[in-house]
Amino acid sequence: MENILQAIPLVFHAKTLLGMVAGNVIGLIFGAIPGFTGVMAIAILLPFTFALDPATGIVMLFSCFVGGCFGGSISAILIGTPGAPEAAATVRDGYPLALRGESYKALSMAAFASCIGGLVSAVLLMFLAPVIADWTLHFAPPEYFVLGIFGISVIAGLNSGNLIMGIIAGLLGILVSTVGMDAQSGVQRFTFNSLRLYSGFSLTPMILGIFALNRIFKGFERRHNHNCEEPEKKVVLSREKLNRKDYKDCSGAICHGTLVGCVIGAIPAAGAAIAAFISYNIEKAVSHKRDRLGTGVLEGVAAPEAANNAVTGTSLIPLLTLGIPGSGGASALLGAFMMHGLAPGPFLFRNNGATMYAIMIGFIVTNIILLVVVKAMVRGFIHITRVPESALISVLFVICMVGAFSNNTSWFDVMVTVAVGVIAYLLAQLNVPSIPFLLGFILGPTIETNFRKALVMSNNDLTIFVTRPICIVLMILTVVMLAGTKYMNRASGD
Amino acid sequence: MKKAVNTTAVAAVLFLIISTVLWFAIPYCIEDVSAATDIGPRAFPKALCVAMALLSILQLILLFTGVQKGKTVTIRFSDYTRVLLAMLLSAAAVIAALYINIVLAAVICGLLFLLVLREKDWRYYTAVLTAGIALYLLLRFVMRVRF
Repeated sequence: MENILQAIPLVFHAKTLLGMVAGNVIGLIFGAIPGFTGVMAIAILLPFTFALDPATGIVMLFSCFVGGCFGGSISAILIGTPGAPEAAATVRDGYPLALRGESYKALSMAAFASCIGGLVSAVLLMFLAPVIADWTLHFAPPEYFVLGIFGISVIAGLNSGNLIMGIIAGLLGILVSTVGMDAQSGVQRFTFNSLRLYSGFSLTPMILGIFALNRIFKGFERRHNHNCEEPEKKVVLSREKLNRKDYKDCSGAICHGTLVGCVIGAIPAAGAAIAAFISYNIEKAVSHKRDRLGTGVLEGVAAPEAANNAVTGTSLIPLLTLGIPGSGGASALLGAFMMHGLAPGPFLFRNNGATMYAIMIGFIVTNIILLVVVKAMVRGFIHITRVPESALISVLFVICMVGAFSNNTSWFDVMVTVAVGVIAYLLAQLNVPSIPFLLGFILGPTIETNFRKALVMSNNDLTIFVTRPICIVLMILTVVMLAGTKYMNRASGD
Repeated sequence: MKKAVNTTAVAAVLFLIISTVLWFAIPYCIEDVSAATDIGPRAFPKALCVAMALLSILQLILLFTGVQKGKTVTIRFSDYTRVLLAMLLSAAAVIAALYINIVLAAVICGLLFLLVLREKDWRYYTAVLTAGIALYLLLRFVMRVRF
């Protein structure tokens, strides 16, 4: 309670509120542009948050996360092209509604459903995260090692990608994290006597290279191939508003969507796209308008929108309590926490109670702000979806380079950003996922340190990892999660 | 020039080469420190190299035995000329940043990107310039970054 009272002034400080609005707007813009995502917005915004205190900076990034999650729906409804995968289910009813001249109604319902889903999820995060964090105090080095492996394996199984390639990418990430001074022995590893490598690679260039520069290079390829999909028909934003009956009709869909989103969000690697599709399919089965779903029904917008934003809060539970991010966005946020000196895990809430509650209350507030921002700026977002990609990637390149430099005012970081961007692009061409690589890089030091500590504990007996109850449970969970993720991906693809 | 490439096989071979090279490089790149209890600084990277190599070999076996098909894509190399140009321009911007202000180097590169993409609308060139100026002011006077 004391922490909550200390946190409230931090949240309602003018700077934090302004940061929330700015984060929401930036997230919405990136989410609304097809091909760009909220994760990319987080990556680009991240270096500029160092000038802010941790609570303000992270709340701003959280707002970006929430805004990005909703932003995809703007283009899904207005131009029939989802700005992000999680908005793909929204297209089915959102675009037909827009074509029928009810675009503003569809967007308003999407914003309302997202706000409710996000709010419930944020409240759950606030109450569940500290409890789970307390429970993880029982973890010792062997458990942390297995937990790290669990995180990378689950992320490696994301989407329909090749699992083996995902795991190899994760291992490569861990290997890259070993560059620099070994924490245990003080020996330099892979530094080639270069002073710049003594402390290893920074996280900011990795995040910028993987999420931003990689996408910028892809823009050149896409433009050349003329792959950009043209909207079938330009939609003009209508003026009619939602009435009480609309809210009443959609209340069931919002409840189902929120519930599905909250549950799916807590499962690492399941993701918002899966939640949106499952929620849409549930609506297809239970809604009294199920025969008309797909032809432009508000419930078909409300259910997936509530679900995909309900994922945002609960997906942060494994991140904040165990340090295991369940998605690309959560990986970028994990990086943000670490760079602001807040290491996710059991001690996060004990050592930084006020800051953490400020972040979580901020997360609740930002969901309400999102609704206001969408209502106020929705007409402006139509123009953003029409800006050519060439202009966007050129401006983003400038932001990306300056952002990489501003972190440590280091030319070396700029060089690493470009190198990582090139490597991430080449790996993407070979269908090797970059997110397990990033997660391996972030979790690498934790995994190695705990592996070595566990071996010291057991006198180099490797059976320590398979004889402790929590380790066994985590290993079983890894297998179940991998199988479950594969199943859910297949289900959402149908 | 068009070529059908099994990207999974290429990636597996690439990772096998990387892990093998790193395995042999470890004795030259990491000093050996013997300790009574700890496994030492070399053991963990070595274990990672072995795991990577084994998984790469497993992937290749799955492909050769037909258990897995892998992903085959047809690559037309001319499609990637602009990407290559963008990468070279980015590298040039990094080198230029050693001699001129990073914001200036990035803005020049951003403008060249627009030229490469044959963008004719002057507003987009102005947008890149404006972004550069805004970022310079933000870094210099708000974040107090020294160039």
